[in-house]
Amino acid sequence: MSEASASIYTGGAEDLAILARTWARPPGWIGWLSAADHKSIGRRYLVTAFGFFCFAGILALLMRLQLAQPEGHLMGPDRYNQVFTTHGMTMMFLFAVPMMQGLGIYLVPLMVGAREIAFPRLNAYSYWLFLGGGLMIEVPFLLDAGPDVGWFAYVPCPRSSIIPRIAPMSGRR
Amino acid sequence: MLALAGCGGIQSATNPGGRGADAIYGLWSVFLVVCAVVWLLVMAALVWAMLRRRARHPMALAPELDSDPNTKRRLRRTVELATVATLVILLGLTGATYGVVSKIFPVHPRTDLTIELTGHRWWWEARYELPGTSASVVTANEIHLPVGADVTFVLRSDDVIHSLWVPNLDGKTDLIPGQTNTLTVRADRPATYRGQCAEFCGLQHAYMGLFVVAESPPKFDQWLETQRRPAPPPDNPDVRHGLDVFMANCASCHRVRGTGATATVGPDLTHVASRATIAAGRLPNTPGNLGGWVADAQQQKPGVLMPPMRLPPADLQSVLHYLGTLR
Amino acid sequence: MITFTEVSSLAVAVQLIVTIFKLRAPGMSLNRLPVFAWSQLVTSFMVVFAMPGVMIVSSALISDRLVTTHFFDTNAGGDALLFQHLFWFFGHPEVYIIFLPATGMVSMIVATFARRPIFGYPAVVTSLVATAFLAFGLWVHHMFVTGIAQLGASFFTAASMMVAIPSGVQIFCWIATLWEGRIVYRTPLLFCLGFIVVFVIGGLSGVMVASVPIDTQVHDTYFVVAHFHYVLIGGAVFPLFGGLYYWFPKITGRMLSERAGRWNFWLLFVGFNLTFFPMHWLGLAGMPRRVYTYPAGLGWGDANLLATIGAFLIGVSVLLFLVNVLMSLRQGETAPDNPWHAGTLEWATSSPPFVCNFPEIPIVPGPEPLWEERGERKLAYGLRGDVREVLVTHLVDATPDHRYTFPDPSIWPLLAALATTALFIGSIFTPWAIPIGAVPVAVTLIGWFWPKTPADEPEA
Repeated sequence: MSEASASIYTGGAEDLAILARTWARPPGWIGWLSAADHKSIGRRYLVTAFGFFCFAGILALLMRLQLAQPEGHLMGPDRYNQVFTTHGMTMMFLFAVPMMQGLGIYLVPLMVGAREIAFPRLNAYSYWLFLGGGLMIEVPFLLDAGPDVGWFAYVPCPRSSIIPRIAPMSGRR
Repeated sequence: MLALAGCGGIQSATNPGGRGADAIYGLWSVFLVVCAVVWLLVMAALVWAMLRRRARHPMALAPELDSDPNTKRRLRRTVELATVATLVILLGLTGATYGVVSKIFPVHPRTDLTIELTGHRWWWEARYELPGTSASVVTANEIHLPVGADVTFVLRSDDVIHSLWVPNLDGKTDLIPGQTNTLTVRADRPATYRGQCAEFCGLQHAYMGLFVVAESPPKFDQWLETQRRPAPPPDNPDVRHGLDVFMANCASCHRVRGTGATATVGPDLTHVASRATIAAGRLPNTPGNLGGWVADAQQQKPGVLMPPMRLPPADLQSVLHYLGTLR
Repeated sequence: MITFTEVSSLAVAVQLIVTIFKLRAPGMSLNRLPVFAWSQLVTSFMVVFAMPGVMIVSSALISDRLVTTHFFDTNAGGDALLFQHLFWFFGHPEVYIIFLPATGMVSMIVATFARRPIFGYPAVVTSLVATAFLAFGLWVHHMFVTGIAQLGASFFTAASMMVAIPSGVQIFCWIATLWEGRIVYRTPLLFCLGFIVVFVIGGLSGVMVASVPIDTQVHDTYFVVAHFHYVLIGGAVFPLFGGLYYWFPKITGRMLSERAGRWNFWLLFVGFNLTFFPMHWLGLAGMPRRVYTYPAGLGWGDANLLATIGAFLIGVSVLLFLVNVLMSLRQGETAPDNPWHAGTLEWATSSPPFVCNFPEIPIVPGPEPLWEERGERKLAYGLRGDVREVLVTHLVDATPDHRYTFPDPSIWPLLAALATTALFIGSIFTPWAIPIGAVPVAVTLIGWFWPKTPADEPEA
């Protein structure tokens, strides 16, 4: 009982050290992979989403280069369709929403005076899932087998190539 | 007639040549003026607010938590007034919208002529319904209309969603598989208008064009009469050889009425020589272009269904001569 | 495949809702909640209601493909338009999910740099909530040309017009705040002012496309491309850059260069308008979207060239931001705890924040706690220091309720995410991926929720 009452934080330097140790992340790369505090996860969201923003921005520049003049031939229709689809999906799903949520994850607990976001482990899980989903969209694109049916992917699928493709909604190939 | 160079405005919503486009352009002009005025007012308010009180001392400036109640009340009334003004403007614009809607989408539209338009990847098939006759007129990518007539398009698709858009005539309407949409237009000014598919439909969405030729009723009737006739029989050996080559290589996909070619995979070619363009508006219909298209369509429209035809040069020439007779 | 990121968004939404409802510092009743937190709360509820739409649609599609259902197969009685309804029931709220947090940032930044609390806090918050409700009644305006009944379309026209009102109210409140305030011009505020200039154009072009007749002309043309880049870049990316400049010192403990920030802003502002303003005209001049090229002779070349030049200015602007960030991280000026002398709680802790944010729990005296505390800051004690204990408070008035111990960091969430990813990837190829893939997911979840033995658990 005395031990428990001693651990109540009361503001001294020693208490502060205990508090810092309690909330610290485990050391090493396993610790880095285990991190679940809202500031680490929030930062990862922001950096990852901004990375996707830059990637999709480069795609936008490619499209603008293609369209800078009539009958542009930087890309064929197959590549162009992948580019605009990936641009839209990346900006909507991998940049805009995660960026806003990342700022929320980082800032909301600070703004409301909380020590941590609710469900920290779920927070880590959602980040890793976001990263996995993001790679699932970008990697096929880099392999020239990206989705090419628009981020809206209306049915019937206007699939334009005989090469198998991952469609945004269904994974339809 | 359809020379593309220097004819900006043949595919433009700001250059109306039909009833629908005209009404929409009028409505749009109202919106444009109202929105421009609103934007200028908001910007004026913003600039005024920005210039009114500028802090001399940067960030350390103590925040002001309270304000003069009179100022506060005035400010609140201004914001309320602006909100009410927004509401009134929006109601006005909504009312104007409904007015135009009832004009361009009548519940029971009048119809003088019905055209069944089917979207294919990536071309348009037009079938004219001719009451009182069993003959049919089927053409592709070039639609003729009589000026002043209410023409109803019956819109279908047999693959993916397309959208018919001839901006000078009217707004767009989708062609959706499993569903039939209609659009009634009236051209008021004789001219040739360009249209284009407006719903993403795959590789060659960009080159799914069509031309609409609005002409005087006598000229239209003349055109229709020509289109109704089957293809003329070959009148010299070269053309006859061309027909043979056509039957051997092209008839599995194309139809030419009056011959044994009856397939409907590709466009009906009965009067292909009468059209100004080929490949859904992609190329002017010249013998050179047509020859290149027949030889290797993938060069011009990668992904198109038309396969490259490996014909000996002499056969190719004969086919081109034959197609040239299909006026 | 989008299901992935939707699961992730849903989880984050739940975390944010619970954090805002139950973990607020004592004294922070809902009417003292910062506007940004309000925007995140409203957005999170929208996520909860919108994301299932897209998850249903993708599940239906995948079952059409894998187990031969016929939801969307028109040859077998399915309906192609059903897809569009479900997609836009999600897709339209989605844009407000992006836009509302941005308006929350603007409210925070404007208040700080006008040196006074936001004008009309209740109106601003009500606008957020109203936008969220209206956002679910607009989806059909993406489908005005699919041949739907005009009576139904008219309803969606009216609703789409009306969503301009809450946005308008927010803009009026920001202008009123600036009007009342003594403005300090710093980069974050520049982005917010640029946002107002640009976003109003986007809002007004939105009013245009809400009108069915006009929409039948501009739908799926570059006019719409211009419109939604004005509302998404104008409405979200401008505030976002403002927010990054504003909170960067808090997150990293370093200031960003003000000079580079101004260049960043002006390049973005000029480049953006150069890129997207001509597209309005392009759309009216007949250029459809999603075309990989266009014929010469329709007169679209010059405007497209202008747009391309503008796009590269945007590129330079973003590059400058990246350089600014890297330079700042290497040798930036050290940030004080509250560099902008702002009023909300995130500035009450160190920069970057202490490992558990607040060693002492602050007690909140008003909506702008740091501006309203006269003299001594009031603090709450009583949480344990040797376990991850947090204070849970009541939903409305944030009075202390109970203490709660949070879990330690763990590798299991990563493993669970990997297992889930494998399941989703497998489900592209075979329906069997779902039952088989569920096994590793279950295993990782068991690891995740494995209870601590009493020996690990310090005495409560």
